Parts: sequence; C-alpha cells; structure tokens
Amino acid sequence: MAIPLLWLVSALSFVLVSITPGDVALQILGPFAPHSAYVHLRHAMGLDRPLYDQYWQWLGHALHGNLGVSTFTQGESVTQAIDQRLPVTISLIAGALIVTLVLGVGFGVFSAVRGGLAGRLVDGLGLLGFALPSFWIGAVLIAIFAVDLGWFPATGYVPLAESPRKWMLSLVLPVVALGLVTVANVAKQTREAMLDALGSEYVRMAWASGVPAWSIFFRHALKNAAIRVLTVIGITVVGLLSGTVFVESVFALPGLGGLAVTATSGHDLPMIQGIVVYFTLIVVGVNLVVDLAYTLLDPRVRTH
Amino acid sequence: MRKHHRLWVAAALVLVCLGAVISGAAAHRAAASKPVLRIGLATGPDNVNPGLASGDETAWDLIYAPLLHQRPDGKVVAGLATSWHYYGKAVHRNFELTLRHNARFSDGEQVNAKAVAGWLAFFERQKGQFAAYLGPRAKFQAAGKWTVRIHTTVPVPGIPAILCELYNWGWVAAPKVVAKPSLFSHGSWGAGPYMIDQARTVNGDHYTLVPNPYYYKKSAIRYSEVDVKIITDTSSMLQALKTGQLDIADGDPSTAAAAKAAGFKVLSTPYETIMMYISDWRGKLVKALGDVRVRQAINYAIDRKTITKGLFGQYATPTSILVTSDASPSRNFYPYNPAKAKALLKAAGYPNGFTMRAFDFAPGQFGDPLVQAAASDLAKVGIKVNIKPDSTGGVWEQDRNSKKFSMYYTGFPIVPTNVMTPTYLLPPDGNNFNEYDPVVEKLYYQGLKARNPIPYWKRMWQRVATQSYFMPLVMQNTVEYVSNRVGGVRTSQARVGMILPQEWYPTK
Repeated sequence: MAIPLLWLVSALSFVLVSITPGDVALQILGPFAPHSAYVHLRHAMGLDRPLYDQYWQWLGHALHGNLGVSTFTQGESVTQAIDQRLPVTISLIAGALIVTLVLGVGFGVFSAVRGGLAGRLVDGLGLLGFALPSFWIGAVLIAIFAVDLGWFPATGYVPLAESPRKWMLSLVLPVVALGLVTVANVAKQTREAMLDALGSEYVRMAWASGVPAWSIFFRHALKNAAIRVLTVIGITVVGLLSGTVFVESVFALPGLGGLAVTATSGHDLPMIQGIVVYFTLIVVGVNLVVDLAYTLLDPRVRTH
Repeated sequence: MRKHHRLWVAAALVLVCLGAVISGAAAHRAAASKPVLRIGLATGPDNVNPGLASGDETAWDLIYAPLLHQRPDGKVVAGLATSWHYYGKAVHRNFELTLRHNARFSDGEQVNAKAVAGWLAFFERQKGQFAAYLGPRAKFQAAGKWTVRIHTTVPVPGIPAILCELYNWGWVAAPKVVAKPSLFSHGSWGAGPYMIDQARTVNGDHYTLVPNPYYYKKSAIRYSEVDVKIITDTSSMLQALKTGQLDIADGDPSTAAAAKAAGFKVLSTPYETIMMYISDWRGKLVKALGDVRVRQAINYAIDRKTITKGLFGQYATPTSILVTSDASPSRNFYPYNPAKAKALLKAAGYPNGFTMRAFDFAPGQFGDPLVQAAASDLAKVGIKVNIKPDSTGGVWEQDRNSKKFSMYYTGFPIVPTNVMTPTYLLPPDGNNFNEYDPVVEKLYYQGLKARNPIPYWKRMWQRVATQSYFMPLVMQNTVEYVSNRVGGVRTSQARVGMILPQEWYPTK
C-alpha cells in the first residue's frame, strides 16, 4: 500500500503546486524584473516543459534515490537539506509524543479511577487544549520560562552531538508547547476508554475474585483501553507533524515544518516533493508501528 | 659527524614544531579573546548564489567584499577597487576600475582583473533581478592584471553605485565557483572578512561565519565568529534579544515600543515607498481615471499623516510622491485637502465620484490594512475602491497581467532614477496596460545621455507627480534593535535592512 500511496501523494502535490499562481522564477527575480529575464530563467530551469514531462523526470530520479536540488536556492541538495532538518522534527515529535503519552494517559487513568471532580477537570483541560493553539502556548512559555526566569533558551536548536544538555534545554519549551495541545485529547480518550473497560463484566468479575486494584486498573482495564488510545496516538502523530510548522516558527527551530513553509512560498517544487515523500514515509511508518502494536495488545488481531 | 647533523636537524624540527604550537595557541587565544557576534534577521538571503540572491543579505555583506562600497550617507568609496572613472567620448558608456593588489578569495585565489571580469560576465548571464541594470549586452574586459573595463550598449550613469553592495554586482565570487556554480551550496567563495562554516550552517535557518584568513584588512575582523539566525516571528525575535541570545536584530513597528522599553537602541530609517500604481491612467477600464484632475483628486483625498501615525506610529513616514535617491520633488506634493479633491472631481464631471477595482498585497501592516485605510479616505470624497487582497506574489503577478484592475499595490526602495524608471514608466514592462507618457520618456533619455542627468530627471519626476500616475502612501521604515554590546551600527536610506555589519565592533 505504501508505494501506491507515495506515488499518489507525490503526483497530487506536484500538480497542486504547479497550478498555483506564480513560480520559482518569479520568487527568485521578484516582480519587477524584465519579462525576458523570467523567460530565460524558466527555460534554464526547465519550467517551460510540459508538466507530465517534469513530473516523469522527477519520478525517474526519485526512484534512483535522487530527490534533486532546490530550484529556489539553486544547488542545495534536497536530501541534504531535509536530512539536516529531520533530526529536529523527529526530536520534537518524539518529545511531544512522550509528553502526550505520560501526561495524557496518566491524567486519563487518574480521572477514570477517581471520577467526580478529576473527571470534570480532565474534560475542562480537554476543551482548553483544543482551544489554545500551540504557537500561543509557545509564546507564553517563552515569556515566562525564557525571558522572566531564564531557565531555557527562547529560540534555536542545539544538535545532540554538540551538547546533550543544551540539546535537551533547547527542546523543552517547544516540546511542551507542541505536546500540551495533544495531552488533553489523549487524556479524554483514555478516560472514556478506561471507564468503558472498568464497567465491563470481566472487571466486575476481577473485583469479585479479589484481584488487587492496581492489577485491575493497569493489567486488565488499561490494556483493553490502550487499543482505543493507540488509534488516537496514531492520528495524534500526524497532527503533531503539522503542528511542528507553527512551533518551529515560534521557537526558530531548523526543522522540516519551517522548510516546508519556505519551500511552498518559494514554489520550490523539488524541495516540496522531497518533504512530501519524507512526511508520507513518516505517516506510513507510524501506521505500521500502530498496526504492530495492535497485535501485541489484542491477540484477536494476531489470529486474523 | 652525520650523527650530529641528524641531531641538529631533529632539534631544529622540534623547535619549529614548538614555535608553531606556541604561535598557533597564541593565535587561537587571540581569536578566542574576540567575542561572537549574534545577528537576528527576519529573512535570510534567498539564494546561495549572489547573482540570483535577494532578501536580507547581511550575511553576504560579510562574506563577499564589494568592488565599491556605499557608505550610509550614500557616498561611494573604495572596496576591492581603489579607483574608478568613466572614460571615452561616449557619455556614461565606458567605465574603468583599478583593483587593489592584496585581496584574495577565501579559497586563497587572487582577486585580479581576470577574476573580476569573469564574475561580472557571469552575473549578467545569470539574468538575476539586478542583471539588467547595466543595460543589454554589456562587455567586461580585463585590461592588464589589475584594470577592469566595462563597456555598456546604452548610457548608464551611476555605475559606481551599481557596483556597490546593494545590487550584488560588486560581490565578486571566486573563479572556481563561476566555472561551476553548483559549488555555491558547498562553501564560501567571497573575498570578504568572513567565510561560511558549512558544517555549522543550515541554509535558510542559521549561518555560522568564521574569519577569512586571506582577508586584506585583518584589523577589520573584530569577532571570532558571527552567527546569523533567521527568526520569522517578530515576537520571538525580541524575546531572543531580551534573553541575550542575540546582540542585534531586525525589528518591526509592532514590537518597537517593547524593544525600546527593554532598553535596546531602536534604529529606524525610511527605505521604501509603499504606493498604489494607477496604471489605468488612460482610463481604459474606468474612464474617469483618464482625467488628470481625477487622479489628482485621489491624491488630495488621502490623509497620509493620520494613517501613518495610526498604523505605524513613528516607524513610517508619509509621502505623496515616489521617492528616489537623486531627483524627487517634495514628499508633501499633495497635502491632505478633501475639499480640493471634491472640487477637482466636480470639475472633471464626477461630482458623485465613481467606482474602481484594485488589488493589494496582504502580508503585514504595510499591506492590506494600509490600503483599506486609504480606500476609506477615498470613499469620503465619493470614490469607491473594491479591493482584492492578494496573498502571494504569484497571485499578485496574475492580477497585474489580467488588466482587470485600475490600480495595484507596489513598493520600491529609494534608488536612483535610472534603476526605478524602467520598472514603472518605460516600455516594454513598465505599465501593464502598455501606456507610456512620451514627455516622461523624452526627459528620461535626455538625462541618460547628459553628463549631469539630474536637471532632466527632476523635471521628469515633477511631471510624474503632477500627472498623478501613482497614489504613494508611506515610506516604510527599516527598524533595527541594537543591544549595548555592539557599536558602530547605522541604518541608511541607501541600503535595505541592517547595513555595513563589517563596521560593527564589540563594546564590551
């Protein structure tokens, strides 16, 4: 499925970007260059060739692992540009996912077990999480924890290889800004799934049999609730990918989100195609991991 | 004897190595003793090749030494070239410059006439946005080892300014990259004080610059490293400055007051005329616009002072003319006078006004909000403007070519007349309705052929203002925030953004 999906997404994005008004020649030369300069540059870049021809050439190179060079910066390798920025985006998403899992599942289980006020609190947090955009949370976090308290840097990214401590510090605020939005959703879903599981017959049976409470909550109820939570996590990762665009902008991080924005505004077709391929591969990979996790959590899936 | 000889050689080698280690350590200490300069820019250079680059090129200022150098007061002084002049009988057609003898590119190669002539020819072949400024088919010739000659096919006054930093022509790159342009993305090829550290640079996000060991003026290298960071979010830029991550940063009117309150020096200078071009001035779409009184009424109807103060505070300057660096009339050519506007409309036969279509460019305060404010003033005298806000340059170009709009949003930096005029007022690309004023054309070319073009061009701009071909609104200011760790920072109408970073020095 992954290969047809990759082909479809790449072809669609190629067509969509190509039919958007303007092109990379206009971006490079600005609006006031002589008409002959546009014609010259468009020809030099091959933009005057038929669209199918341009796509076919790109596809041929891509199949050989060559994603081409940026038409906007004229010479920067697409693979190199993406590989430089991929660790930032992966770090962000992985960090945000950990925050989401620990806090989201933790809050969800807690509110399901305690009920009452805790449950309403999780509901309230959920609404708040949906309402507050990550870039706003980011700006508030910078003002408090970077400017006022000076605990973390306001902007920028330090590679892990350069300094693990600084790498960690540079990621804390962006990860929290990105993760907080999804925590609320996962907490709510976990709570609902846990309540369903706790209300089922086998849990009542377990209580009646004198099974310890921690075992009922974590070994029986949470394991069943985890299937629904896992589905949400899969969707959440895709949401986090798009969320990185805003968070990277606020924290000035050199990630794929920022590159996607620059490439799109610059009509940099090879770069956009490269990012689309990487994003699609990430989504396919996440779905694969989620599918594999289903088989671990639910034996019925394995037998099918 | 042979044994002793070997001992002497070994001792000499040890001494040499020791000397090298000691001097290396001293050099390292000297370099380390210099501070790191951290610059925050709202946009970076959009191309690794200066022949095609535009945007904020502060980083390129440090990498590429210019042939000639323009000071903030607009005066052109020596750069890689130490002397320059026009020569020959043909006015403004032949230009010669003599290069300094001690300049080298960061790859160690000498900056000589052959390298410079090769670069200039390459620059023209690139057909970048500034390539047309020397006219069509200019020739570049190395006349001896240190003399470069430029022969243009049309008169080009102001070649010295064109060879400065602003138009990129002067940023000579090494012959190796001229022969193989793909190398631009794999290193640093200028003769400026710094060079790019490719391993610590992510194009479009941050650039790490280290001293160029071959730079001809070692005393000008005042920092051990220059880190240039691109931060698009204006609020994040200020926060990074507040936390000490940056020493100097691009600002904007929305955060300028907060920057001042936080103790930063705020520098601001007008640099670009923001305006609407009434390109339908023959009245092809809207007949009323064919009457000069109607176009003048449009300009009298705008309360520029109030709009500027309300939208930008002190970080913009009202103007009712297109501002050039050499020959503009007074900026208050059309003082706010709605009564006069109504009278002119009545005299032209439009006492109840009329309706027209226009498009603007939405991003930022200087886009749609500004144009909407102007349209609201026009509505008060009966002129209704239906505005389409465009969000990308591509849509803007599409609308400009559609010929369905009577006026459109545009902006142009303060540049010489011969750079600006072809953009709006001369065929083939100046006017999207293909309409030109023969009086303007005549005065322009008379100036081009004269030893002193300014008197002709002053008359030309007077004509443009009187005919009211444009509805200028404000001069957009460049806004910069400077911490007390950096000295020597100036802004100038002659340059966009932060200028002359090579002149900055550490104060602490």
